[in-house]
This record gives sequence, C-alpha cells and structure tokens, in this order.
Amino acid sequence: MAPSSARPSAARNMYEFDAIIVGSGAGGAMAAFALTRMGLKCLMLEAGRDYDPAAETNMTATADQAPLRGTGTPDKPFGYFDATINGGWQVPGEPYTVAEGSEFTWWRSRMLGGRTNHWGRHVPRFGPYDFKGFSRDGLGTDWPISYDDLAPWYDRTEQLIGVNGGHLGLENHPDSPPGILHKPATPRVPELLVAAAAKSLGIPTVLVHSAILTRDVPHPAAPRRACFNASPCGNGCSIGAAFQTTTSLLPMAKATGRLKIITGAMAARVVMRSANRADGIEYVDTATGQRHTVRARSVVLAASALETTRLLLNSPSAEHPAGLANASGQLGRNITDTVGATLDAYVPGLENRPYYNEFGTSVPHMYIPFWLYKEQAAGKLDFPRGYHFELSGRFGPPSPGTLPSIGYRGYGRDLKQAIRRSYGAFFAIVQRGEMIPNAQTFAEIDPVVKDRFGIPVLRFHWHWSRHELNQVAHGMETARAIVQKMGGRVLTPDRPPEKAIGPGGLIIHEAGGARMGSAPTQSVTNAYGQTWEVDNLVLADGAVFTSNAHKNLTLTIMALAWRSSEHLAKRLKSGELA
Amino acid sequence: MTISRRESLKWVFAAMAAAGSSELLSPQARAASAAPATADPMVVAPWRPVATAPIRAPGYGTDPDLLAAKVPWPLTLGAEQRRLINHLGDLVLPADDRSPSAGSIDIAAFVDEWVSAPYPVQAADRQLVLPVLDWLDAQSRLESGAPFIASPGATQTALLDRLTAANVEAALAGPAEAFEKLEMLIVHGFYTSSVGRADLGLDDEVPMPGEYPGPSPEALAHLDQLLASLGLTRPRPT
Repeated sequence: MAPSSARPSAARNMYEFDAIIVGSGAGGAMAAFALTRMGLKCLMLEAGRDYDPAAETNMTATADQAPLRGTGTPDKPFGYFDATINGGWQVPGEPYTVAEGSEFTWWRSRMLGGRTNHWGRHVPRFGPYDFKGFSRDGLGTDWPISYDDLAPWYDRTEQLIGVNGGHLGLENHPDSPPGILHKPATPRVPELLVAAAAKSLGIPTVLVHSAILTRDVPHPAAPRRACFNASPCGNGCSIGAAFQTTTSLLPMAKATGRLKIITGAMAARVVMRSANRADGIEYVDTATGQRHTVRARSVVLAASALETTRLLLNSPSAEHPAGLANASGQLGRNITDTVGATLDAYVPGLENRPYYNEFGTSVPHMYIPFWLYKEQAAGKLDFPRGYHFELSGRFGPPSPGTLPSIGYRGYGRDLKQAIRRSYGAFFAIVQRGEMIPNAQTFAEIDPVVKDRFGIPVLRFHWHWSRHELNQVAHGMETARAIVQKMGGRVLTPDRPPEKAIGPGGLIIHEAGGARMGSAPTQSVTNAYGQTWEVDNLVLADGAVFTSNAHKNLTLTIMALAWRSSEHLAKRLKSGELA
Repeated sequence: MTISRRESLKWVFAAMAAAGSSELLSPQARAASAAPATADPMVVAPWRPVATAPIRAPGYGTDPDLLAAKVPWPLTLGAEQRRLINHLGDLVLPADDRSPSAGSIDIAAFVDEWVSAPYPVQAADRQLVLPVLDWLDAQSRLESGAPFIASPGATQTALLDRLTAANVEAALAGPAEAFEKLEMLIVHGFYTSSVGRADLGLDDEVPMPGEYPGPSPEALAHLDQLLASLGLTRPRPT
C-alpha cells in the first residue's frame, strides 16, 4: 500500500493497482473485464461473499425439494432457490430509511456478481429518442451522448455477453447488426395468442432480446453452454447460459492474472489524495468489522446506482462539503425506477389445450415494445414516455389462490378436473414504463441511522408524478383490451393508477443519483462517467443514467461501463493520470 | 383449541335446538338459535379462532445450502391433526385414474411444514388451519356425535359441500374461509409434488438440450382453432 504522502508524479510506481473497482455486478465486472484486457491491474471490492454458480446452483431441483415448496419468505423473498444471497428487500444489519409519505423498497444482494446472478436477462437497447428525451418533450435532461455514440458498445456488449433475439424493425428499437444475436427461442402458445390479439389492435409483438445463450460459447476461462430449456434463470445458471458476471466477465478478467477480488469488503468512503484526485477506498471487513484502506491510481465505483450515490454522499471533505463530486448539487438527485403494473387474466379458450413442455428459456420469448411514438410526438397521449409489456404465463402447478381467483369453489374429483382444465389458461400482461426524474424523488444520508458497520444509510424520498400514473392508466386499459380480444377474463380489479403502481424500487431498475451530463454545473460526471471534480474517479453503474427508458437497463449499464472503462484505460496508459 | 365444558354444553343445547327442542334452551340460546335466517337451519359450532402461540423457531436464513435443502423448524402438528388433514386430503383430491389421493402422499407433512414455519404468511395461515381442524370436529360432533373423521361419509361430504358452496351461509363464513386456505394448501402441496406434477404431465425441470422446439403440432392446431373462433390470425414470428 502506498503511503498517503506519495507524490502524484511517483504514483505509477507507488501503486500496486491501476484501479480499485467497487462492486462485482454488471458495471463492476465489465470494468474489470475492460481494464484487465487492456493490461491494467485491478483490485475489486465486493461487499458480499464469494459465489460460484457452478458449485451452488441447484439447476433442476423441483419445488418439492425446497422448504415450503420454494415459496418466497422474508429470508428469500423470491423463493428458496433464487440466486440472491444475504439480500432481498432487507439486508440484515444494513437498513435504509424512507421519508414519511414516501414508499420505496430496495432490493440488494451481498454476493459476488451482485444482482446479475438472478436478473430477468431482458436486454433491449435504448433507442435514439431515449438519449434525447428533453429535446423531444422538454422533460428531464438529454444525455451527453447519443445512440450513435453507444451503438458500437452495444454491439460489442451483446457479442460478449451473448444475446438471443429476433429482428425488430421498429421505431426507436434499434436492431443489432447481423451476426451478433443468437437464434431466438420459439414462442409459446399463449404468447402467440397475445400477439394475434395485439395485432388486431395495431400493436406489435416481437421476439424478446434475452441475455441467454442458445449456442455454446467456448472460452478457456469461462466456457458457457447453450440454454437447455429447464431451470428458472433467476436461480442462477450453473452452465453459464444465462448471463451473470460470475460465469463470464469475472473469470475472464481473473484469467488475465490482473484481477484481485476481495469479498466481504463493504466500501465505506472514497479516500482522497488531493482535492481532485482519489487515492483509494476505505472499506470494512464484514467478518471482523475492521477498517482497511486500499489505494490505486484510479477508483471505479460500480456498487449499484444507489450504493454508489451513498458512497459519494458519505465521502465529504473540506473541498467537497456536500459529498464528493457534488458541486452541481445533483448527487442523490434524478433517481428513478421503472414504472410497473400487472394485469392478471384467465383465458377460457386456453383451457384443455394440449400439453407440451412450455418452459423454454424460462423468460418471456415475446414481448410488446412501445409502439406509440408518433402519437406521443403528435401530442395525442397524456403521458410523455414509453412503456412495454412483458408476457407471462405457461403451464404450471396451481398455486394457492389460483382457483379462488377464477371463482372456483369445490372439492373432490371435480376439483382435480378443474385444475387439469385450467392450468394452462392463466396469463399476465406486465407493464414496464419510463419514469421521468422529479424533484421530489431523491436520496440523502439519514442524519441518524447507520448500518452495522457504522456507515450512514440512505433515506429515500419518492414521488410518482402524473406522467407515470397516466402511463399506467393507459397501459392497464390497453392490456384489458388485449385480454378482451383473447376472449379472456381480467382477474385484476379495476384500480386507479395510484393503486396499480407499486412502491418505488419494486421493479429493481434503479438509476440515477449521479447523472452524467455535458456541463459540471448540471451533472456529476462527464460522458465517460468520470466525475467532473475528481479526475481519476469513474462511475460505472446505473448512477450515471440521465434518464431511465422503459427498456431494462442492464445492457446499457454494461455498454456504458465498457465505454467509460476503455476511456479510463487510455488515460491511465497515456500518463494523463500518472 | 380445547373445548371448555361451558362450550360443550352450549353445543348440546344448540343440537337440541336443531332437533326442535328449543323449549329447553335458555333465553339467550333461544335467541341465538333463532338469529341466522339461513336456508339450512342446521346449527353451527362457534367459530372463534384463538390466536395460537407464535412459532419461535429459526428460519433457514438468508444463505441456506441450496444443494442440501432442509426444513430447520420443528413440526408442530399432532398425530390426530395430521390424520385429519390426510383424510381431508383424500376428500379434497381423491384418487382417480390419473393420480392417487392427496392423503395417500401424506399431504399432512407439507401442511405441517407450512403451518409450523416461522414466517409471517405461514403464521397467518396457521391461525386459520388449526382452528378449522377443531371446528370440523366440533361441527361434526354436533351433527353426528362423532369427530369428523369418524362421522358417516355423508355427514362429511355434506359439511364440505356447505363449506365450499358458491354462496356460503353467513354463519359458515369464518370456517369456510379457513377451509379454503387449507384446501388451497392441499392443492399447492399436491401439485408441486412429483405425483401431482405427473398428473399434470409437467416435465419442465427436465433439460431439453438443443433448440427449444416450441409448441407441438397438436398445441398449434388447438391455438389455430381458438384464433379462428376469435376472428384472429396467427402472426408470423419475426
């Protein structure tokens, strides 16, 4: 470790590592991959424990092999086999607080690979409009980059992580260049029915882009196999078909010999060398509670949008009194999640349909992308930004409540017949929409509460504006129309959008908190995630998002992280950050 | 729930009222027996779910071994309770030509695991499942003088018919809601077992290496028929 008195000019020789990376999820692992392949030495800090999906994932276990048939509990909210370790809506000993009148919930995990171990693998690209929302409708802020700036990074990222999907050919839903995508999975019967019903209403349904391999991808350090069409992706994938950093980017980066990972290392604050240079990270050893400081030529924060924001807010100094790199006052601001609402339906026409193995890749094979850009631009809609529908429903065992939901009461042989008749007839249309940042939604440091390591925690303020509520109303009305065309019955009660929408954070698509921009007065980082005020501090996760399109954000996090990391690598190698 | 002597006496009076001996009842009991104007004048055992002691046992924690899953909390149901649940399992999901009954696969073991779990949802279900077991016996004693499992088959099915009727009598609302919970646990436990999955033909845990084949020709023919009946056409995937 370098003494803190090290002169910047001597830094190259003084530091063992070129970069410290905080976090091992989508952003952090991509940074490690990008930096190590360019010859740079990295030290990664991960708050959770080490995790190896190949050794720990119970791929083909059935529900009856788990306590409570795998049902979610406070210990494992997404079910016993879900690949979330020491996490969920609450992490033991690591609270957060929510301001009075706000509703917010925060999913975290404490494991190598972070939340990439269990995510939905839905990887749409942001389109040209999604980077220039302000220019289109005067709301929010434009990104400092355009789609064209990021397009080559999307290409590279898709190729690297492995994405299956089909041609889109739709406005603001960019296609991938030929040769990148793996073959898409064949649609299931209920998806084809929705597609037909939607088509009759002028609504497109397309094959989804999923970060799931449908062909083998050999690699000496991280060989990955094609999906074998069993096992929910959320449980983690021991064969590496479903993308997670623990079976791909992390072993690839480690194989260079230039990545060291410390798990059980909870970052507490950024340590400074001078007013505009970071020196390293002070972290807490989660096993002993002891604090350690590690130093490097640069620091990359990728602890998740909100943990990165928290780290910066928790790193004030004389030069940075309101939190590190917060001269703009934007730190903790512009936080968003995805708008979410669900319409459950029962389709009598799907009763008694012939059984076939409907599991497929476990995720939806088709979805409904946003299709009303022209109407929106013409001012015909009362909400400014888009949404999409994810489609869910396939053969499966009846869960408690399934039959009461369709009004069935009874027992005996008749009940068995009712279950056999109906177990392929339930369906859900799931809305996912863009939230526009607003002044009433932000995070700050709670003045009192600290976590078990003594680190001050975040306090959240949340507000859904008319933009989101009107969007939910439109989405649920449209979903009802689709169900009607399917000859189905809507099971979800007709609720006002304030009730149909969940609390902030529920969709686990948090973004913002340290947005990028074209001017230091308006933003925390430049277009390369580099903080305006600290030359060698780069943010490589969802914190830098300027806006949060309805398109699930992990692919964009990785494309940006790669772009920002290569930029950092060039600066490190050029001597600019010597 | 243990039945106090006072409650037993009340039920005896109520049973007499049902048999038309209302002149023997106290004024209060007479008023009570006259109160519910239901289609079926049969008396109903009181539904007074008593909060049972909360489960204080460890859960499986936030980092359980996924390859060697086990239930760490002690089971709490007695042999009689489990016997009754398995008997109800036989009535709720009886054997037929596609699968055996729920009782025959010891569905009570699953219900016991569920209602003994130290988590909020399961604890709430416990407050319904345990009382409804007692209630079924109490009601059965009223009607036939014997606990549920020992009462005549016709008494048992008549009672379940009333509990699962489309319009449940007001006097049975409490027990019916609790019985529905138990019934759905039986259904959930049965169809997530290997026996229940086989009944439905579910094989989605079986790896299918290679390209996912999608719907069978029969499944597509069924879909096309449905689409035609709805005036829709199958879109061509992109």
